Amino acid sequence: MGKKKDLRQIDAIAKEFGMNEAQRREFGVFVEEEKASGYGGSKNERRDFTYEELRQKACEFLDQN
Amino acid sequence: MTLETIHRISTVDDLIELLEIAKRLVSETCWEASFSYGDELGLHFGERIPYSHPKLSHKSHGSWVLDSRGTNWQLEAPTGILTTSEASREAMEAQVKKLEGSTVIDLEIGFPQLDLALSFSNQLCFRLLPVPEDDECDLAYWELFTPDHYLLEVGPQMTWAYRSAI
Repeated sequence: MGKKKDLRQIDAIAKEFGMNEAQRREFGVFVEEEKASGYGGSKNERRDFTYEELRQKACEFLDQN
Repeated sequence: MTLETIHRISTVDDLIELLEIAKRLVSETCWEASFSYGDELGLHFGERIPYSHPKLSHKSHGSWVLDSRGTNWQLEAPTGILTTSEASREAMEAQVKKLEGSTVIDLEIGFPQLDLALSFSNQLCFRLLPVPEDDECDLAYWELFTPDHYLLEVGPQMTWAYRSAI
């Protein structure tokens, strides 16, 4: 269920920022790539993102897209 | 985003239209099995399409993408289970890569669980296995992006939807 909660956060933020489904999917790839590139979050030792950090990532994702 | 129609599934006959859409994946070859945020497994088929974001310019997605949506899954060989969604990322990655280069030869959707089974030409079978607890989360059991920019979502509960993805 933890995985679904992570994905629910992505979906909720995608909806908040007006992303379509294709953009929502790409946003999930984007934040995973950020983690892999050393720009992960502070939620846990896996460098997952808090909700606020994901909102910030959504801004970055849309600004550069 | 367009208005969507949510289809309710009451009998096995309600799967007919859903299967017509999903079975278009048969004969497509998986060229990438990869993970995104939340350990979501995506299987990519068809044309390779570059992502639009500059930071993802080195990556592509398929014209068909099957996403696990955090639902339990397992990868089976004739000799037994190779890995499941409960394994470590490294263990999952090592096994799901075996799907790359293999072609979907059959697709089945179970009733009433709405589980998905993809049989591949290399004798592997990929199964998505929803459980009742998945209905506590407002998230599809699995989803399929199609080359015509539509999204097929199956679940939660006894529902499916097919709507524009763009």
